[in-house]
Amino acid sequence: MYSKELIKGTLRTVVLRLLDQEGRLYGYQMNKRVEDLSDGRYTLTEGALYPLLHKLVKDGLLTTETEKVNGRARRYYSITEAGRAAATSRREEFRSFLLTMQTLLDLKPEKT
Amino acid sequence: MIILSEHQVARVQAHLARAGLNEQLSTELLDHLCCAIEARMTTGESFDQALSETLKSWPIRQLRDLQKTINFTTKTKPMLYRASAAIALVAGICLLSPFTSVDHSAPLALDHHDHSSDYAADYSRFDPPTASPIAGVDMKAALSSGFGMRKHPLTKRTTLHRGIDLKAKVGTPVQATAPGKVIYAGEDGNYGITVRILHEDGYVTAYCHLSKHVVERGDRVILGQEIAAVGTTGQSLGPHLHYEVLKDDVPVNPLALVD
Repeated sequence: MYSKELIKGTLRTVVLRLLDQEGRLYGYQMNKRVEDLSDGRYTLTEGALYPLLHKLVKDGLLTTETEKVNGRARRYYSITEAGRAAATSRREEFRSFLLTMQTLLDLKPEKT
Repeated sequence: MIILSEHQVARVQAHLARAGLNEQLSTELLDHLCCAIEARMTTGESFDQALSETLKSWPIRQLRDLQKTINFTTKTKPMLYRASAAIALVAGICLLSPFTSVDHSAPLALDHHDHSSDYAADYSRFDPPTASPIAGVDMKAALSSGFGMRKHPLTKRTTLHRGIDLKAKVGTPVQATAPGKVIYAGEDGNYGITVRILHEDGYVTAYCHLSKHVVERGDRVILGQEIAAVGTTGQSLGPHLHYEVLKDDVPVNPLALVD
């Protein structure tokens, strides 16, 4: 599992990208999806996920709707167009950040 | 797939109730915890086992902290920001107001019409973007294609024109039509070089087919600030500015806001 700092700095990018691809997800589902995709190495703690989701809604990057599923109210999050734009630019920024880090830390691709 | 019974859900709810969360958050977390418990039960745990394991990572104190964090990031922070803006505005008006030095009864006269509450509300309300994105140019005078259904000049298909086109020479400065935060600045497919600004109240403005942008993502901009220059990048037939206003993600006619 990665350190809290790394996850904190990338959470917004990950959540926006996830919703950009999937369109609509609920909180637990995001948690599960990220855990599966990262083989359990990237864990969204709920304590960080929900404040972020509520903030993104407030900023107009996500919208929500509540549906009854299995007798429980489930709050789905969908991405807005502004959210998509933010997702793209954050992803691009991270791409160049990776390249910079590769140079800074002198990382060579591992031989297989 | 295991689905918790009403009785089991009630037991999870009882735990959440002890934290005294607001209804919306409590409902959302209830679903989250129930999903987590169901996932554990799918692997063979009993309900009681799954419940106690799941709640172990959700002590009451942590639940309360979560609510505090959410309230702080979504309410307190923007409120502080808005309050300071409102105070600055009031201070500015007081300084410039002709009443302050002349006659103190004059502003009081307004109270007779009971406008005082309206004024107070106005300071905190965000006005939709009404300025022209090109300084000194009237949007109606420079309009080359309006908002609404139209036959696309390149694709020849009838589609919704999501904004308005303004005639302008390449390099003409483009300005922000309201204060806000740049959420996108760069190449964006058919839109060419594009700047998108997020304003308060769910408004977003977009400026497209630019030749360059002079602000970057994350920048805060003020009304009238130069953000870019007119161009003809992306799917465009000639130099012009495509200007969009979105309210809660839905395109609106920028000219309709002016009237």
